[in-house]
Amino acid sequence: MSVVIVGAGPAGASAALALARCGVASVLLDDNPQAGGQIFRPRGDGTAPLLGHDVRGGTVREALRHNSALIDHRHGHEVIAVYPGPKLWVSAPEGRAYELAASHLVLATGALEISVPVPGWTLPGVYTLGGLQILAKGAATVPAGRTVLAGAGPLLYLVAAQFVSAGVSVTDVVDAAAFPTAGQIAGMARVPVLLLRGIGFERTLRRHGVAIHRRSAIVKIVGGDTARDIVVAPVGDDWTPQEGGRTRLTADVVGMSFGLRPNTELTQLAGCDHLYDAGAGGWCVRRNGAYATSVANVYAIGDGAGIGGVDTALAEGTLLGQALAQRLGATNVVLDAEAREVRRQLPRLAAFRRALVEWSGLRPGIFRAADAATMICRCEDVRARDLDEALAAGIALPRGLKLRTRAGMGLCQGRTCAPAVQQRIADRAGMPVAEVPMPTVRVPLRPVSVAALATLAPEAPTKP
Amino acid sequence: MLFRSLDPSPPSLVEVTVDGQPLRLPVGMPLAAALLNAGIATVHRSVRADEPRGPLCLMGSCFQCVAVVDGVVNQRTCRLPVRAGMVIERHTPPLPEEAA
Repeated sequence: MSVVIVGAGPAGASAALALARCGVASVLLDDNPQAGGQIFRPRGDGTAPLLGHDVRGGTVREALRHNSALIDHRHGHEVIAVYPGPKLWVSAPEGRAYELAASHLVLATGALEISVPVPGWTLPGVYTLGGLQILAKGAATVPAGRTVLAGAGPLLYLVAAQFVSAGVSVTDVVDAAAFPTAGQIAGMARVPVLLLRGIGFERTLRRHGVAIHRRSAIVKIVGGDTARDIVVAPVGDDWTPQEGGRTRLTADVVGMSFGLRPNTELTQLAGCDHLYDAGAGGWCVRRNGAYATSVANVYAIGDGAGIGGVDTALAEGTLLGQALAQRLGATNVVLDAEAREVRRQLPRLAAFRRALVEWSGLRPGIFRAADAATMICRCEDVRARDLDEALAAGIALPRGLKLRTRAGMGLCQGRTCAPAVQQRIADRAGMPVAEVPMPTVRVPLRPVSVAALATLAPEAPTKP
Repeated sequence: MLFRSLDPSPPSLVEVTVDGQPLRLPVGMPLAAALLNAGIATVHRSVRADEPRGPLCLMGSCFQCVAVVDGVVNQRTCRLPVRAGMVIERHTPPLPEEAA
């Protein structure tokens, strides 16, 4: 019996901890130096971040250490392949690789940020909002000069509020979304503490005199070695940038991203069915009410299965951990008050999430901010016009477009450009992006040296 | 300077080499963050268009922060903690077809 969990963020860590409380051992693989995922990221030395500290992160790390007899937490281990079995190939530190068989595989791979290409977005000095937050949490590093934050969604306001509170000169927030409607606010009020946090961010920004441009987007960034001048345009209902009413800003650092989507690489390699769910960030693994995917003994939880946020991820991990322990015959499973409370919260969190998506979920017009010369695939330097030429030549599927243009074939494997490429295919065909086939993924998911692959051997199975 | 440190305590610095020049960086800090703190925003040039590129996502996904570290190509600097004696090369050789 060998339960393997991939991802030590809120979902994966809480699953490992729930299993451990029932006496069930697990292997917890994670590519980061510390557990906690992005949201609970500590500083490099493991201490609490100076900005954006969430006490739950320290609690999770302490609990994992405390349960180290049952939880084999392997940090710095990246899964590069999944094969039937399920079996994993893992790339480990010091140029080592190994194969790991799982009786039960829990995929808790978290989210990717959605980037929207605009002219100049490749300039150094432009970062995703989450990237700026990771710098602040993990390295106590914040922008020193004028900072403009753009995109949409709660992270925009969270980062802006944290930054101004830390003395960062955030001059402007550029939000593609409109101010939330009364109905959306009512939906968010289903989780009052989260709505109040949002209101708090808004107040902080107003108090610090930050200009908030709603229904607006950055449509151009100009600079030399780094970003400097920014053009902001109003956007329409589907977030298509408008010609009139443009304004100019200057900045030393730009943060920009448009929400989150699930990282489906591992569920795709595992052969699981997927479906398009705009409310959960786009392509998501199909799963039943017990978090089981279409592949036997493969489960998916947290943002990697569908964007739901940290509270949902923690809840799903706890519930799946307990259910798995019960299935594995653990005799001391306590379906305790905590699990009941967690289950009770899920519908309210889902209602909150629906309102959030209605307010700030990605809309397709925003991708029209790219002009013909805009780099879409940053790894292989593929411009919008290269994609358009291939599309005009009749290539209509993601795989064909990748082979023809190399977009998505570079080091990042399309993780950054996929949303923009998918939307371009949809626009050309005049259909919703949900009808464009899901982009494919390839082994190995991360570059790995042949020397490391040569060390690949099955790890001896663990005793129950 | 693009970035600054929030940490009031002075960092423990070690010497590394960037493009042959000595540079002192905080030990243990992710290399990408340490370089940004030192005013270095460009860590490689793009493969075809030869444009400056630097970190974007800081979480190991986007590969925009890759550099040659200790002779190994395509190392994600956002995932490598600074160690004494690290040799970082920001130059990316052009593709053979473009060099010709």
